[in-house]
Amino acid sequence: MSENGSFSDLEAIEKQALTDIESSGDAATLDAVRVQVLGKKGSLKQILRNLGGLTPEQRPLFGARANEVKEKVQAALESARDRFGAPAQNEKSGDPGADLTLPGNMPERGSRHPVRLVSARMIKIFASLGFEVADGPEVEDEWHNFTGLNIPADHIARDPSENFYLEDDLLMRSQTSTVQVRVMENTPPPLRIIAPGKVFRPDTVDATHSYMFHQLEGLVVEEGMTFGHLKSTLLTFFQQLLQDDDMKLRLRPSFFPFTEPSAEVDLYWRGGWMEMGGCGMVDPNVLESVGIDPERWTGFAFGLGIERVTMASYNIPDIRYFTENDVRFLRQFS
Amino acid sequence: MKVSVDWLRDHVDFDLGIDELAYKLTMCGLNCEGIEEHGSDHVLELEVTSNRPDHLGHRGVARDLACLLGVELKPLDLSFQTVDSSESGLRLDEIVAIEVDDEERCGRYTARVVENVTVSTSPEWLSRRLEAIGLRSINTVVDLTNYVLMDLGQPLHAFDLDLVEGAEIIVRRARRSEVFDAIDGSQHELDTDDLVIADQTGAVALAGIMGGSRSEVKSETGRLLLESAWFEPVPIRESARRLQLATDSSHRFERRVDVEACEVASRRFLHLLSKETDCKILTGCLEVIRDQLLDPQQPVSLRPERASQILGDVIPEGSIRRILESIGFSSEEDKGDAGPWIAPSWRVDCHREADLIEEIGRIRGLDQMDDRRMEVRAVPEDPRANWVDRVQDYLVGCGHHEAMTFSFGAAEGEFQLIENWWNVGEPWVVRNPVRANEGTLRRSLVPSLLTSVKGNRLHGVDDVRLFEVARVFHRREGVDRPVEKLHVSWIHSQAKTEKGTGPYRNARGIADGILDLLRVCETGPQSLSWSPVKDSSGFIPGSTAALSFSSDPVGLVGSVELEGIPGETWYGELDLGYLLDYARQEVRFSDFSRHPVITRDLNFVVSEDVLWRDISSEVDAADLAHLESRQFVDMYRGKQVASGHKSVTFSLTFRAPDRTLTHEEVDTSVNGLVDRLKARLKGELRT
Repeated sequence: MSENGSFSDLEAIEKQALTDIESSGDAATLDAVRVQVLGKKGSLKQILRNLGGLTPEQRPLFGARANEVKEKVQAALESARDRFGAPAQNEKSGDPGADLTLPGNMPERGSRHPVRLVSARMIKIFASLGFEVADGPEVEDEWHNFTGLNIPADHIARDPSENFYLEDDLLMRSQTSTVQVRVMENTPPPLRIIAPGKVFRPDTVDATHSYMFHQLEGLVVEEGMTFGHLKSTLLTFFQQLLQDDDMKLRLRPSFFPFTEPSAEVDLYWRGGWMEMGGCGMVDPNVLESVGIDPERWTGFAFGLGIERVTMASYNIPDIRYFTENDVRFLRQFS
Repeated sequence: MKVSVDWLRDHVDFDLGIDELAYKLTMCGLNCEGIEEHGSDHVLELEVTSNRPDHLGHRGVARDLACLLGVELKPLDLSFQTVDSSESGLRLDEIVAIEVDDEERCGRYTARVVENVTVSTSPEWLSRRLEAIGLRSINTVVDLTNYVLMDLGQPLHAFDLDLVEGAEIIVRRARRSEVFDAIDGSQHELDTDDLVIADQTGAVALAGIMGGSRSEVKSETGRLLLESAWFEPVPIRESARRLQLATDSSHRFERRVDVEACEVASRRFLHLLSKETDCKILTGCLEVIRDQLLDPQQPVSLRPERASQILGDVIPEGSIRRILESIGFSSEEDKGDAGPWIAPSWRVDCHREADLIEEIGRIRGLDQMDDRRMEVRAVPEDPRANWVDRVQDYLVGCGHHEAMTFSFGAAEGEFQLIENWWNVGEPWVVRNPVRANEGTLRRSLVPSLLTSVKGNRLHGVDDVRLFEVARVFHRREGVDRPVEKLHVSWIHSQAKTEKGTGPYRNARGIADGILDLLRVCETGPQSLSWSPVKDSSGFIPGSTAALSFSSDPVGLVGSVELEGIPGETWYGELDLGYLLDYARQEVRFSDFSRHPVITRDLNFVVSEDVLWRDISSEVDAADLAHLESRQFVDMYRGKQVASGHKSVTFSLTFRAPDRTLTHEEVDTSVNGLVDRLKARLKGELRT
């Protein structure tokens, strides 16, 4: 064999094998070609036993090339067999003892957090009603958290014990209504936004309270908005969320400094009314403080507790499950 | 507030079942949170909003009920007989004088005197009323003050006048460290921010909050001084809070009681006292009042069409007038619905048109408004949110469960090193944390996720994979508020231990997967690169690698030891917000070659200090013709390789876009690369 002879021999084996496969007329001839080339004493095996003429650098390259030839020939055999309708090659070598009732190796599947799942659903439903998602910082200043929302300087909601204050007048936002103010400051109406996010209040932790939870804020500022629009929007949302056109929702008069009239949103759930959040027509003072003319533009706002909705959706009895992160809990939502 | 249904009937007649009554009140803003039976009476637990102190008395609740039902509120009997002078022949102003030192905090102080009082047990009707709403009956005088408080929302206080020293009542600030003995037996050290009612020897009451024990009315009391006053809300709230003395009285004063109620309430008390007991009420009332306190509120004009526009309600003419008059607003008869309207003294929350519209909606029923649909509007897609979603879905696909941890962290926590690595200055301090180890805003998601992982491992879960996408809070020079960054972090903790770099490559693989998903390698900064974190930096040696751009930290992957938990734990964290800036925005098809591929596996022995990064960058720098991809395959140390060395196998694939490559041309490229690696990395091809 010449120094490069073995490479050209390989080419020759490949060429010959492919021609033979092409010309074979039945499954038996085809099998003969297979044995001749790929069999234990086949031409490919033979040539691999005789590498004396190659330099050490060439050997791995030669090996790789031989492998390629083998794969090509196998592929050609496979498609030729299909031509004859011959049974698959593995018929004989199949494992008769295989227990095919064994369970599969299921890859580990993760899960989204239930609060996120519900939040995503809420966003989707509101998107179908024309609401765009807006975002704001989780650390706020007093102006955006209180003043801009018509909360007077001596209001109890500003008390240090009711908030997580940082330095100066910075605090963790106690409500997502802050995003209302930020959006209105930067974007002229008409506006139709929702702002889902974390809020913080130093409440004592129990089954229904935590010091960090999620709200979904909604704000509409358009011409001709009425309380009737607010009611219809929330009604449609909850009908979609619960997939139930007969569900009962009530808007119960309440008080928030940044809306007027204000109402609590109560959902009839398992035999009783459950508070889901607050809503109301945007107070003219709030519009004026960001330079929007309340005579021309009217609007409504609402804030829904996402944990509340999640607990109702999945029948979760205690809010603390959400932050314990026990995989036995989380896995249930995969 | 607890409201007795029988008591309501003293003020308004109605014929409603208990559930119907509760629902009516709920739907006009008085949420009924519970109903209790009390003999033949029912007691409602009503939630009163902070803008409605007038609802903190039965009459205020009855007023709204009367309006809802379209009936009149019954008149209040305030009549009683008086005597012009005392037993000893003195007129009222000769018996006692009132001095208000701090008119800012005490807007109005009235006092009346009663002699020949008999203090005994209360009549049955009175003790029954009080007990129904959870108050203990004490004696006639104390019970009647409480009764009027719960009826009209005006706190009253009765002093035993014979126990008041000197003939003067002084309303003044407390002295620093002044000691006050309260009627409930508690003792308080006051501050100059507290307001007291004092005689010549000292405080006899903590203004608006609680009476003192020294002048308490007891069975032997013969002469009363009845206080009915108005105190400024905020200071009362602050004192009550600081002294931890929340009382029925402070609860009302801090929500602002009706300035006109002082007079009505004390007269109502005297009417009832003279009806129930024999006593002599002195003619007159001592009063100190701040200028303008009783001025009527500014009139407010109302556009009925604006009310319809805001509420989405068709309001019949005359309906507005009926509603507003019924809840105490006044206006000239011939002005129709428009007013101008003057709010009653107990409704200081109503001074704008919007406030009147709310009242109309509240009484007509906010729930009754017509359905109005908004116009259809298309919502633009939010590419950033979509990317975040895809990253989260990717992690779920990798078997990780999404966790939710608190945004707080410890200033000196167990995994401080990981937080500090982000090199973002001092943490932001929370002034009043709920938990001691949550005194700062977190700078990394890893520590709190590790805590959750630990909890799971301790519960016996042998393989825990969590992730979280949330904000962290950094400090940047010249920025006076926290810089909020969106991070993603994932953790994999398992009981079994694997040899070699397997776990590292798994944790790192997720980082690479996210970078690949976002295609930041195509569009992002070229110098985004991974490097080992130096062993001297405090991390477990050889355990941690960092992703950075220039000197900006972008990501960290490493291992930690969890105390008391066997096995191994790997974490990864990326500044997702940073990477999203470089996420590929759109997909464009690029054609691929249909010609055959040629693959070459190379196996190089290099010294330990040569890293894969060195080899791969040499391959890249060699710029081999038609190289389609290069891929790390394996790393081997052992008998076959000299000590201090390792063998690295990688695979190269070649393909041309327009023709079948010949092995010769590929070999030429590969040989060139082999020579380059030999020369530059002192590597040897392994055979």
